[in-house]
Parts: sequence; structure tokens; C-alpha cells
Amino acid sequence: MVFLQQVINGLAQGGIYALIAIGWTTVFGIVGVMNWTHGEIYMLGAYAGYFLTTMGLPMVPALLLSMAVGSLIAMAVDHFGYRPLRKAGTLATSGFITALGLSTFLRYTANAVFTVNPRAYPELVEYRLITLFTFKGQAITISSMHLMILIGTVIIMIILELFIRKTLVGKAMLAASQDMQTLGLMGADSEKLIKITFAISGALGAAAGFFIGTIYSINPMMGALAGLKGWSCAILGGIGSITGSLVGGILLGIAENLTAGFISTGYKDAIGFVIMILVLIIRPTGFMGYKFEEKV
Amino acid sequence: MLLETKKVSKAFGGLMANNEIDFSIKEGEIVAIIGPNGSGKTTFYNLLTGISPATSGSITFKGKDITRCKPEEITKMGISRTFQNIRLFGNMTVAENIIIARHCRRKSGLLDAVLNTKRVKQEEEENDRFIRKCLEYVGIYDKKDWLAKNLPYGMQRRLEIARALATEPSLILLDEPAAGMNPKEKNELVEIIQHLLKDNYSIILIEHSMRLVMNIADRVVVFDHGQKIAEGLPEEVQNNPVVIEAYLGKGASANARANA
Amino acid sequence: MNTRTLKAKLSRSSEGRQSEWLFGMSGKATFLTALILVLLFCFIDTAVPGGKLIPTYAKHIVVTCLIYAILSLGLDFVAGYIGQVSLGHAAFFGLGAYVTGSLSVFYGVNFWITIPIGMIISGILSVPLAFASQKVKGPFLVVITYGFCEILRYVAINTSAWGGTSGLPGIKTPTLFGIKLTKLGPTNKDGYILILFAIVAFLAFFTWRVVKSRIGYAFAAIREDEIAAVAMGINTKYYKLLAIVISACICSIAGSFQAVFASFISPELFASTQSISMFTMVVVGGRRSIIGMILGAGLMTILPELFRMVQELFSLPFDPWMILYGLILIVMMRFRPQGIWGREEKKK
Repeated sequence: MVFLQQVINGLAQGGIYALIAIGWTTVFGIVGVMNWTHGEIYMLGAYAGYFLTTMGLPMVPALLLSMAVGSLIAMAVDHFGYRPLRKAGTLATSGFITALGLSTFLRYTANAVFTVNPRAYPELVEYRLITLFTFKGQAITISSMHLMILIGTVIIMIILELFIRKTLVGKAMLAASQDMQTLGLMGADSEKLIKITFAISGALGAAAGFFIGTIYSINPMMGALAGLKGWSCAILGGIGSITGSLVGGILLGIAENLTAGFISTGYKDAIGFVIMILVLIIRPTGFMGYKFEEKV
Repeated sequence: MLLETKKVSKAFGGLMANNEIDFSIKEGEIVAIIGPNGSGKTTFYNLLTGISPATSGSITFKGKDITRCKPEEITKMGISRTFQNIRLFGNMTVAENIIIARHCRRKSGLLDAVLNTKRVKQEEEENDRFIRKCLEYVGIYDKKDWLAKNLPYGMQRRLEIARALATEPSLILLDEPAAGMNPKEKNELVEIIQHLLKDNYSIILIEHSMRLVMNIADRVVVFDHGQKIAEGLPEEVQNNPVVIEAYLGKGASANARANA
Repeated sequence: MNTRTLKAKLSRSSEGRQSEWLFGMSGKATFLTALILVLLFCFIDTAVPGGKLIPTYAKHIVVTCLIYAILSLGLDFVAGYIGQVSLGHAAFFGLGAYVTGSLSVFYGVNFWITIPIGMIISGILSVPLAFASQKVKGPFLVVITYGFCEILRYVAINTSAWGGTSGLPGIKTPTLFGIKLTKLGPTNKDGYILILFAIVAFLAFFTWRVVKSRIGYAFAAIREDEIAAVAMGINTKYYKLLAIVISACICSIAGSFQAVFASFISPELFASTQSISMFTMVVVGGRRSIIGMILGAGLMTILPELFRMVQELFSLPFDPWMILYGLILIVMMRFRPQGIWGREEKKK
């Protein structure tokens, strides 16, 4: 019973992790850089949502605008951070540390501007416990906010999947994650593709931030742990695989809630790392296989 | 037999990159492996050197079974190789590339290093000897303080050979050593290889340049689609219809037969 | 060929570098200069009657610098010599501190004995990381190391014997030849400065000897091209393990000293910011430059202190250093990716 309830509670959290994870995985797949600022984009998206909703904007437009803000920030990060390195050909060696610097810069600038005090969104959806079904005479419930997040996540995922499968740009992105160089030789504008990738990644990160803001209070430091958890999910599912990220995210969300429910709330945040390390050691390609074997 | 393989296979998933290959080489012999791109030649080298172990079959070297040996053990036993896509330690000097190759013949450990023992000094002297010997062998001793990545292409290929020599091998595996070389460089390479043979090294050679192969190989083995399709003296192989078919397709082999 | 291009082509690798000490001085000269400076710094106030030239606060910062110098020298074995990114080395810093702290508080074990015990425990716990580094690298190893350290932090937080988040106070000051370390000079910091200086000097010597040895060249081969290293007969698994274990042991020493110096341990020692600032010291100082490690640690310890003063002076509600710190990393990667004291390595 408790078990089922914990699984349900984990789903919404898992959906948020999945959104973050997809943002990581698309950028890593295409640009090849571990975009450490992703957690900060998530945080800034949450702040954008906070200001928009306190101004009285309804939920859907506020969400869409936050996503736009996230996109812009992500594109700016690429433009001022990674693009110069790409031009100089040093992205592979210097990209990670630049990302670390950008992330620190964004996080602490936000800290200076927004102050460290946590903030809470106004109530966007009236809090209600919705009974999903009864199991052995006990009601298994989900809160209205969690349900909304779950629905929102699913809709975003479907749109993303359609975009990648059906549009030319989406297909080019898929091809780019296989082999950027060849794609460039075939005449695709790789710089434009990279911009689009960052825009998508930023929008997803901001959406995740927005969703988390509807249930928890937000602060400038929130991106650090959440970003890392997203990356863990991306690895769990297998880098480069969107479905993998979804599976990884939901798995982590559920695992965390089960840990909190059955082991100790103190270890809730640690469990993700434990799972991730075990998965990487046992099966370095994640669940949905990403091979990084070097050709001899 | 110096080295002998019996029915060695390597499968990547469902793909047989090497399929039941029997191969052997005597001491002091030079055997060339030819075959179209993707026919499993480099994979075969990876099996021999233990970099990616065989799925089945057995490899014996100097009478010992080395099928399951680790790469470092195999190098120590005396098999050394060069790479098709040059894999030098680019940010190290030419001499340092040789020092790294000497690793498997040295014994000094952490304590020796910190205390700077007699053993370390001996090994360093020996390294200097080998730097001179191996680099003079391929004629680039004067470049010993250059960073490897700054060497001209042909010299990088030669450094690969020198580096392989520095591990004191008895069998050297050369992977397309002439790729990208001009005729003059190729001639110099042939000289180096002939010098090696005179010093009784055994050599396996993967090479696309037919003229080079026909000139120096004692025997030629032909790979296609992961299988050994022919074996024999250079001229035998050259006129073998199966080989011509593998390279040029069915029609070509029919023509060859008609002409013959 | 003109001499300039020839010189560029001849530039040396870190392993074969001849004069890697400060201002082209030899190792001995650098050591003696540093020794004289340290002695002056510690005892100038006793020599000058009634002198109060050097504030205790400055000495406090120097102790911190030296502790961080040990850490960056340790981390450099992983981040520099075998070329892997680790964002989890605070794990070994914390482990050293927790071993020393708990042994001395709960069992009254002599401080000097707790150091090797901490090193052994850190060494053993680094084996799983080494194991992971056989399988994955780059961004994947980053999260493994990060996660490893986070897990330890949660263990520290959730263990009530260690006082949870509030930590464990009351760690006794160690004695050297029967004299308390805090009584070794005019202030209570001088003893620490002297002993830590000796350790840093030894580690610099140790690193220098190891790097130019057979082992150092094996590390270099792994960093440059792992597959070629394997083909040259280098047991890459063993040498990666060795580098990581050495690195963990060195960081543990720093942790042991941190515990007695602060006489307090807390889960903050395992914080990811701790790992990140260690990594930054290595990068800013210049990977694989011994002197860079020491100076990088000094720079990255002194700068935040200066900015804390700025913050207090203007009573800013936020820490200006962290913003600048991010900018330094970005600008540095753009214009001097090899670090301040690192040698330039041109791309292929």
C-alpha cells in the first residue's frame, strides 16, 4: 500500500528529473559538452516562472514564457561560453571547466540579485487529493499539483518526440547526435543546429524549474543538486536516448520516494548517486545503450 | 612456428569480424596480410596483441598459449605493433616516446623512484642506449627532442616503428606503414623493413601498396569479409581468381581467367 | 628553419622538464628560499622586540593555504598526470578529517598515528573509484566522483555519533616531542605552518621524483593515448589505480591536519564546493606543474579572503568572490587553458 503510494508520489518527481535529463542528453549528444549550467537554467526558469505568476499571469502562458526565457539563457550560454571554444577548437579540453565557471557565475549572480531567501509561487492549482483507485480497501491518491506536473511533462515529451521524428530539423538533430562532422560535410548548418539544440535544452530545463516551483519553494542554489540528478538520470537511461532519459528520470523519482518511505529520508538524495554508480560500473552504456568504444 | 593461430574468431554482436582464421609465421619470416577495407585485418592484430580478445580459437606464441593473455603480457613476451592511424604520444618528445615503450622491460617501482636507487640510474642509462639505437635504426635520431606531433608525417610513421622496436620484440606487426607516403619515403621504409629482417625480426605486414608487398613479402595471406580466402607466395596470390574477385568483383575475375 | 620555430617544436613535456621550479631556480634553491621565507614569516615577531608585524589572521590563512597545497598536489595525480577530471576529491579530505577526528575524540588515539590510518582507509575507499575509472571516463567519471563524495556526505550527516550536520567538536591539539603544536612559535599557528611546510616540501619532492620515473611516464602514456599505452605493454588498469590511490592518500593527510587545526569536523568537509575549489586550484595553478599546485592553492585561498573583506567593508548581502571565480574560470579557459604556471600544450 505504502509502496504503491510512494511509487505514485515518485512519478511526478521523476517526470521533472526526466525533463532535466533530456536537456542534458540532447546537448551532450550533439555538442559533446557536459553543459554544467543546465542546473542553473533550471533555477532561472523557476525564477522566471515565479515573477510571471506573481504578476498574475495564468499558468500556461507563464510556463511557455519561462520556457522561452530558459531557451534564451541557454543560447546565450552557448554563444558567449562554448562557441568561442568551438571556433578555437579547444571545446573538448576546456569545455567542461568553462561550463563549471559559467555555472558558478550564473548561480552566484542569481544569488546576488534574487537574494538567498527562498520564494514560493502563488497557488496555481487548488490543492486537492485525487483518488486514483482503491487497492485492498485503501485509497491511492495523487495531489492535483503532482497530477498537473505529470500531464504537463507528458505533453512536452510528446511534442518533443514529434518534433524530432517528423520535422527536418529534428531529423538533422538525430543525425547530428550520430556524427556531427559528416552532417556538416553534407551541408547542414551545424551552428544553427547547435543553437536549436541549446534552445530546446533550455526550454526543457526551465519547464522543469517551473514545475518544481509549483510544489516547492525555490532558491538560487537549487540548481546544483537537481542538475546533477538530471545528469545521473541521463546516464542511467543511456546518454543520447530520450526514452532512456524518461525511464531514468521516473526510476530515480520512484527510487527516491521509496528510500524516503522505507529506509530513511536522510538518504533520499544519496540513493540516486548510489544507483548511478552501480549502473555505470555494471553496465557503462546505461539501460538504452550508448556505446563509447574507441576504434583502434 | 613463432606464432600460430588455430580457428580464431572474433564476433561483434552477430558480425564475424574474424572467422576461424588459421595463420602462422616462422622466425625471421615476413608475411603480408592483404584484403579490402573492412576485411578484418586490423581486428586480427587486435586479437594477436590482446587488445580485444578472441571469441574462440587459440593463439600460440613461442609455444605458449596467449589467447587469454592481457595486452601487457603479450608485449612483454615479444609482440609489438604499430597503428594504422598513427597513435604516438603527441605531446611528448620523440625520445620520451621511446622511454614509454621501454616500460615493459624496466622494473623500478614507486620506492625506487622516490629513493632514486641504483636500479633507476641503470635503467635510465639503458633508456638512453635504446633511444639512440632505435631512433638511429629508423634514421630520426637528430629529431629526438622534437615533440612527436610536430614531426612530418613520414617520420611519425618511422617513430611508430622505432617505438615498437624499443619494447624488444621478436615479432613486429606493422599496420599499413606506407599509408600516405610518397615513393621516396616508401623506398626508405622498404630499406628499414629489410634491415629488420636481416636482424632476424619476424614481421607481419598489413599493406595496401601491392608493389611493396610483392617486393618484400615471403608469403601473402588474403582476408575478405573476416575470412582467410587465400594464402601463398606473392605471385601465386596475385593470379588467384578468388583474390581478384574479392578486390574487383566477379566480372574482373572472369576476365582474368580468360586472359590467362 | 629559423630558431623560433625550432624552439617551439622542442618544447618539453611536463615529465622531461628540466627547470620546473620557481624563476628557473633549482629544486634545492627553491626549497631553501621558501624555507627562509617561512621561518622569517613565523619568527620575525620574536626577533623584533615588541614586534607585531604579522597578524595571527595572516598566519591562519597561510595554514589554510598549505593544507590546500597538499590537496592540490594530491588531486594533480588524477586531474593532471592521468588526465581525468575528479569532482569528488573532497571525499578523501573529509575521510582523513573524520578518521583523525573520531579516533582522537572517541579513543584518544595519538594524532600522528591517525594520519597513516586515514591514508589507508582513504586508499581503500578510493579503489571503487579507480574501478569505475577503468570503465568510464570524462563526463561519466565526473558524476561518479561527485556522487561518491555526496554519498559520504550523507553518511556523515546521518550518523548521530558524528553529530550529524552540526559536526563533532573537541579534537585535541597534537604534540610534537612533548610540545603542543600550538606552542611551537610566537602564535598558536606557527607549529602548524612549519610542519605543513615540511609536508608540502616533501610531497613536491615526491611528485617530482615519481613523475620523471617509469611510473610517471606510464601516467603520461595513459593521459596521451590509452590504447597506445596498452599496446606498449603498460598495465593501464594498475597505473590508474595507483594514481588514484596515491592521490587519495595525499588528500587524506590534508584532512587529518584540517581536523586538528580546526579542532572540529563537520559534513561540510565533504561539500561539493570543496571538491570544485580543489579542482579549480589545480586548473588555475596549471595542471602538472608542481609549483603551480602550491601557488594555485595559495592564490585561490587568499583571493576569497580578500573578497570577504570587501564584502564586509561594503556590507554586501552576497559573496562577490564566487561571481568573479566563475568569470576567472571562463576567461582562463579562453585565453590560458594551461593554467597560470602550466606549460603551453598546443592542440593537434
